This record gives sequence, C-alpha cells and structure tokens, in this order.
Amino acid sequence: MASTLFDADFLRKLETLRLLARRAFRSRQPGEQRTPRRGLSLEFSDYRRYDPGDDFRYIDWNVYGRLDRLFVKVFTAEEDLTVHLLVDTSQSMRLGQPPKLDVARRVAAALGYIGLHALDRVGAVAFADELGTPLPPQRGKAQILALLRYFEALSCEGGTDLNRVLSTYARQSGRAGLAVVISDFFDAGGYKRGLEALVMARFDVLAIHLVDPAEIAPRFSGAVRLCDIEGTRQRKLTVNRRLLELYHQKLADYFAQLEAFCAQRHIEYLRTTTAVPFEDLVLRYLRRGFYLH
Amino acid sequence: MLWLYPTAFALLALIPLLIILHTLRRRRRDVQVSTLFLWESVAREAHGTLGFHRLVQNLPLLLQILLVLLLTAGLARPVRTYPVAASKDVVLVLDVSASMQARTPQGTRFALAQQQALRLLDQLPHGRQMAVIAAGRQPRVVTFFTEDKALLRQAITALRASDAPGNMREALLLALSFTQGSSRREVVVIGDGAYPHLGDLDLRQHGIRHLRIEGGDTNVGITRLAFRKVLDADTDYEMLVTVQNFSAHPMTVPLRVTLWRYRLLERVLQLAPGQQETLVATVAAERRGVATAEIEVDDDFALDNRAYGVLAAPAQTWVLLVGESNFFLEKLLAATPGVLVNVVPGVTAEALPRLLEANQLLIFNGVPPPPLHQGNFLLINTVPPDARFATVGQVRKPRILDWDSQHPLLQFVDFSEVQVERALAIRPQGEARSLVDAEGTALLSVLETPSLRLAVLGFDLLQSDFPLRVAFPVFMRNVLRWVRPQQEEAAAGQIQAGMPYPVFFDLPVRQVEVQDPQGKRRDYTVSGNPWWFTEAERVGVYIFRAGEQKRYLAVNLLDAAESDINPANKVPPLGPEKASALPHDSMATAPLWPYLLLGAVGILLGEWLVWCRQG
Repeated sequence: MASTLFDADFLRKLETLRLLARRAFRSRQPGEQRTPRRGLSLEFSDYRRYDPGDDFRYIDWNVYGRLDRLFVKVFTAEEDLTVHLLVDTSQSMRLGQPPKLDVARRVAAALGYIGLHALDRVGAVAFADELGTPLPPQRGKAQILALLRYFEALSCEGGTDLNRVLSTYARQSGRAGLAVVISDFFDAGGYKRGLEALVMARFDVLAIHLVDPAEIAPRFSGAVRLCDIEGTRQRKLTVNRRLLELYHQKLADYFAQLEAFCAQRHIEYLRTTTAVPFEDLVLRYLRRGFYLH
Repeated sequence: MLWLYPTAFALLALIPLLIILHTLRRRRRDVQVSTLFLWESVAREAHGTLGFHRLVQNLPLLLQILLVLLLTAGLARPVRTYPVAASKDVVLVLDVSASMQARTPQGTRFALAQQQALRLLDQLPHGRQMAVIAAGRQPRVVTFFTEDKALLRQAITALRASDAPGNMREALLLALSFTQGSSRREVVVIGDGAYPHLGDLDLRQHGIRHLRIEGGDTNVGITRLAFRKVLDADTDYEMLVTVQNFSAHPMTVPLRVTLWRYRLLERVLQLAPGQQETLVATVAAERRGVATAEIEVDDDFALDNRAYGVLAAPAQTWVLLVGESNFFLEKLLAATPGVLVNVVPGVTAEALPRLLEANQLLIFNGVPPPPLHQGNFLLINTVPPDARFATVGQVRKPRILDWDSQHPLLQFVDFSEVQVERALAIRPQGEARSLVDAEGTALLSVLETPSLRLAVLGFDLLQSDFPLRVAFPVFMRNVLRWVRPQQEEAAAGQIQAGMPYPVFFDLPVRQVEVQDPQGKRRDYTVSGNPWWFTEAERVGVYIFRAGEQKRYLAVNLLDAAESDINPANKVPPLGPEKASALPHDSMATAPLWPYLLLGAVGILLGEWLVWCRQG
C-alpha cells in the first residue's frame, strides 16, 4: 500500500532531511529540536536580570560578587517537535493532473515520514468543510505505516471552509507545533480567520498552496457553463481573450493577497503546482524553504 | 408608409429558424472549476451589468434578426408617404424682357427677380418639381419639371435679361399648358408687371401667383428711329426719331443723332410726363453708314437711350437683255428705279459665268439660252436646253385655266383677261412647275434650286396683250424682287432685338463672320440665300462679313410699351402673391428600400466584425 505513494529510493532520500522549526515548542520529552525557550535545560544559554519569583538556585553568585547585581542563568531546553499535517480533502482537490489531493497527501506523507525519522511527533487530519478523523500525534518510525495508511485512505468530499476547520483545530489541539496546511486555498468564504487562529494558538504555520496549472491557465474558451465543483452554483460565460486576461489578473491578485497575508502573520507560504514532480517539490522546494537543512 | 410587396413579410419566418439555429449553436460546454468565485468577479467586471452581458452574448443573434428584418422590409418595397398639402409643383415664369434691366436701389430688376426665384426654389418642398420658363420675346423653356434643385438653381442663375421686348402673354399660355388645369401645379410669375397684351386673357381663374419686382420709375426713351429715301432725290434720306418721357415728372432731354462723326441732328427737348416728340429731318447727299441717336439723360433704364440706324447705298440691279428688242420690256426696265439694263444679241456658254457676275438678272427674249446651272433668269418665248422644260410644239390661243397667285412672281398679277395668240406647248417636268396653267401648255413655269432661279414665260410678248395690261409691270416688279429681294430690304438693315433677320448675299458664300455690338466675332456656316440670322439679341450694330461683302444690321429696342417701365396699369389681373392651399392633402412618396439595403450591409459588416472578435 505504501509503495503506491512512495518508492524505496524516495524514502531513502527523505531520511537525509531534517525538519527544523524556528521556534521552540514545549515538549514533554526532550527531542532533537533546540528551542530558544529559556528554562530548565542541560545547556547554558545566557544571563538575564533577576526578577522576583525566579528560582534562587539559578542565581549566579559569582557575577553578583563582581557586579553587585543579581543575574540568573538561562539554559536552552531541547524539546521534541509536534508536526500537524492538515490536508485539504474538499472536492476542489479532486481537480488536476495528477489530482491535487494526490500531490497533497504525498507531500504530507513525506513530511510526516521525515518528522517521524527525526523523532518528532507527527499527527494528521483531513479537512473539508468539517474536520475529518484525526491521526493523533505519535512519535517513532513505527508510526510511519499508520501515517501512510491514513493518507492513503483520504478521498475528496464536501466543500471548503478553511476558517471554520482551522479555527476548530487550533482550539481543539492540545499541543502546538508546526502546522502544515496543504490546500488550494480556493475558498469563497476566505481563509484569514482560520490561519490567524492557528497563529494565535502558537502554531508555527506552513501554508502549502497547491494549484493545478489548468487553474492558472484555463484551457477552455467560448460558450461554457462554469460549475462550482464544491457546490451547485453555475455561471454561463462566453470566455474570450479579454475575459481570460481579466481572470489572470484576478488570480494573480488573489495569490498576492494570500502571500501578503501570510507574510504579515509570519506564516511560511509556499505555492506550487501539480505539474511540479512530487520528488522535486519535496527535495528542491522544501530545501529552499526554512524547514529542511 | 406603404408596403408595395407585403408578401415579402413571409421571410420573417426565418427569424424563429435563426433562433433555433442560434440556440443549437450556443449550447454550452460544462466546465467544473474550483475558482467560480473568481470567474464571477471577472464576469462582473467585464460585463458591468447582467443585461449588458446578455446583450453582448446574444449580439450575433440580434444582428442576424435585425438583418432578416431589414432585408424583409427592403423586399417589401416600403415607400414613405408624406403630406404635401401646402405645396404644389411650380411653373416659374421669369420675366427676361428688356424692362427687367431697369435700375433699382438694390440692383437691377432682373437681379432682384433672380433672388426671388432662388428663394422660391429654396422653399420648394422635397418631392415637388419646378419648371422654368424665360419670358422674353419668345417664351423659352429653360428646364422642364424637375426636383433637381442644383439644376434649377444653375438654370435660374444663368438667365440674363434680354434687350428685347417681352411677350408675357405667350409665356403664360405656355406655362398654363404645363399645368393642364391641375390643382397640384401653379404658375408663379416673377416680373415687373409691365406686361402688355394680357387684357383678353382670363387669367384670374387660373390662380396665377405674381411676385412683382418693384423699383425704377424714371425713364425717357427713343421709341422710333427710321430712315427712308426721299422719293424725288436719289441719294437723300428722311430721318424720323421719336422720344418719349415715361416718367411722372417733366424731363429735359438733349437729343443728338450722328452718322459716324457727323451730327445729323441736335436738339434739346422739353418733355412733359408721358409726352412724346417726333422729329423728322433730311439726311443729305452721300453720307452712308451707321447712324446713332442718343439722348443724354440719367434715367433708370439706359437701354432705350440709344438707337441705331443704317444708311446703306441704294441697291442697283443690273439686268442683261439678250435677244430681240422689245419696246415694252426695255421701257419698263429703264423706268424701274435702281435697275440698269444692257442689251446683247446673244450669249455663249463660255461668256455666261462672267455675265452672271456682272448682272443680277438675265432675260432671254426669244433666244435659246445656253445650259443654265446657276443664276437668275427670265426666259420669254424660249426654253432652256433642259429636259425639265419639255416642249411639244405650239398652242394657238390657249385658254388660261388657273394660276398660282400665292407665288411671289404672281402676287397681285391678274391673268384672267390676258390673251395669247400663240404659245409654246411647255410641259414642266420634275422640279420645274407650272404657275400659269392654260389649255395644252404652261404659260409660266419656274425652276427654283439653291443656285438657280429660272422663270419661263412661254409666249412672245408681242403675240399677246400682256404688256398692255397692268399685270405686266406688276409681274416684272415681282420678277426683280424674286431674283433680288435684298433690294427691298437694303434700306432697312434695322430690326428689333430678338427678331430674326435675313441676310442676302450677292454672291454665293459658305461662311459668314458676324461681329456683335460688343466686338466679339463668330463664324457661321451659311446654309442658303438669304441666310437667317437669329441671334440679334443685343441692342447695337452687328456687322456681317463674307469675303468682300459687308452688311450692317442695327438692332434696337424701339418699343414704347417696353420702355414704359412703370406703366399706370402695371399689375395685370393675376393672382395673389401668396400660395393658395390645396383643398385636400396630397401625399408624396419616397422609396425607402435603398436605406434598408444600406442598413443591411452595415449589419452584415457588424456581424462579421463580431464574428472576427469572438473567433
């Protein structure tokens, strides 16, 4: 079953990658991630002024003797990272050659595979206009098979309601971490409140915007009836060159707004198309990002 | 609006077919998209409103339906009908008589008349026609009924007032013949109202509209100028000149008559309103040429301030009498003024051309002539060697049966009592014809061709009592006039402007050069003798030159009625100046199919452009 998504050669390549997070996350057990969060840890990191209530045990009395001022030692705690893989399974993900959902779950599976190899906790959840049954965050390479099975079982159903499902996930998730949202982000209701909810819940958010080339450059013209794939709405149009130019403009504006929003909220944003081979996407695009080294 | 072929509307059945075809053609392809909200935004921005969007989407169908409608309407041959109640076709009679040259403060009467005519033309409604008649000496149809305003404008503008008296009566009769009594046509006269000779016409019933041109009322004119030979003096002439004051106030009029640089007469006349004064004077001796009578007044009508006359040398007719001496004939010719007679016993064929150059008439009395091809001849008791005058012996005491009293040779000649003892039995053949028929012969026969005038008297004068009767001198006078009519006209050389004038040439000519009063010269081809000159339109002296021959022609107005530019009874009994309305509305039609066809072509072009853009 797993072999239909990833071949062995690809899996070996993934093992060489490491996920990094820019922030430190709380973790019940030490992991391979170094977090800038100051606290009890094994490795000295810095000094800071003493504040009332600080543990006296961490006051550096030598410094007090030289400077006559109180400072406490700060240590860097190595914490494990929880990776939340949120995959859009709305009807719109069915479009594309290959379908956007196929690309999305392969990318998600790859990231989960990498996270499990790095001893991170990896969980997954599919969403459309509702949250699907989640795969709780688990640690250990042994969970890879379950993760792959989970993604293998995904299918496209329902519409898209990014605001609701992301807000719900941010509220229900007990553990923050890296939230990887893989979606086409084509939601007439918007996406801002959902992404903001994740940020507010202290998630590090990576938005992978998956678009099919046919959505960027429609291959139809003339008299058509455009049907919303996620609903029943229709629109009759005679598509000509001028309308296509207007569409390109609108789409570019939409992408630009999404990208600007993500930049404002410190959300990492990555847009790709299904035309980009899956291997290239993972090995090249993610290497150019912030999470692989 | 009328539809001449309404059956063409059956083509409207194409419209449902078009809609069906369009519906089939416009079946839309279903496309599933994830970005419908973006497409809706695009559609809103591109099409503005839904109505406009639909309109644009259905534009080809709308254009095709419109095309079918236009073609159907065009094939149904629509014509636009519109009422023309307040208008009629107009027969415009424009007075171009000499009095229209009278001066007014705003210009000449004719210039004002032209402006009035152009205004009338501008007011002519679309669909109405106008015909233009110039009322000069002879009415002339300038343009027949036409709607072409440019043509009418050009025709009116090109008209000029003539120097001739007008004949409004004939012009009105001609105009009324155009209207044929139709209430849809009216006659409009534009003139100064000085129209004589209209009294016997009941024009009021025809509703002729008269647009009178006012202005100019002071005139003194020369109304008569004539010269005639004094009977008892060979060279002297008597001159008669009449001057009349047509103004409402007394005028002092200096009159002068000159012949070249000689003053024949000089007077200062005191003329009361309406008064005319006639002067008679003798022009002495040898002075010949063009005489000019002139009055020096500054009045409103200058054309009649000058008149011209020709004092020509008295014409002489040379007659050659060939053959036997005849007492009566010789005495008669010798007693005729202006006739010079030579007598010879015989003429050969070789000498004939030279004799013809020197003599205007050859009389062969009992002597057979040589073959005759050109010239003027009177043969007495002999016949020419010509088959057209066949002779079969003699006839004794022929009884005269009839004669042609209308022929110039026999005017006022009475043959009823003439007795003839013996005559040649002549049978005129072909072009020769008998003028005096008698039992068994033609006592007088003639042959007239362009170059030959030949009269054959078939009996010896001494064998009849013809020389003893009054008919004989009358006949000989007729012969002289017949062979040389200019002898009678030579002293005249004077006509009224616009009249035709016969020009006689002593020798045959083919071309004549005419110099008009303005000095312009023009060559004319002479088609006969006399040759009729019909273009003496302007007052002045015309000069005719043909080889060494030269003739003068004095052309004058000399018309008291025309010179009376402000007659007391000026306005004739014509209709009102305003157009009368028609009793019922009439409808004019104009075809509309060319516009529809043009629209269809435009629609077709638009359809093609839409197809190109959407393709």
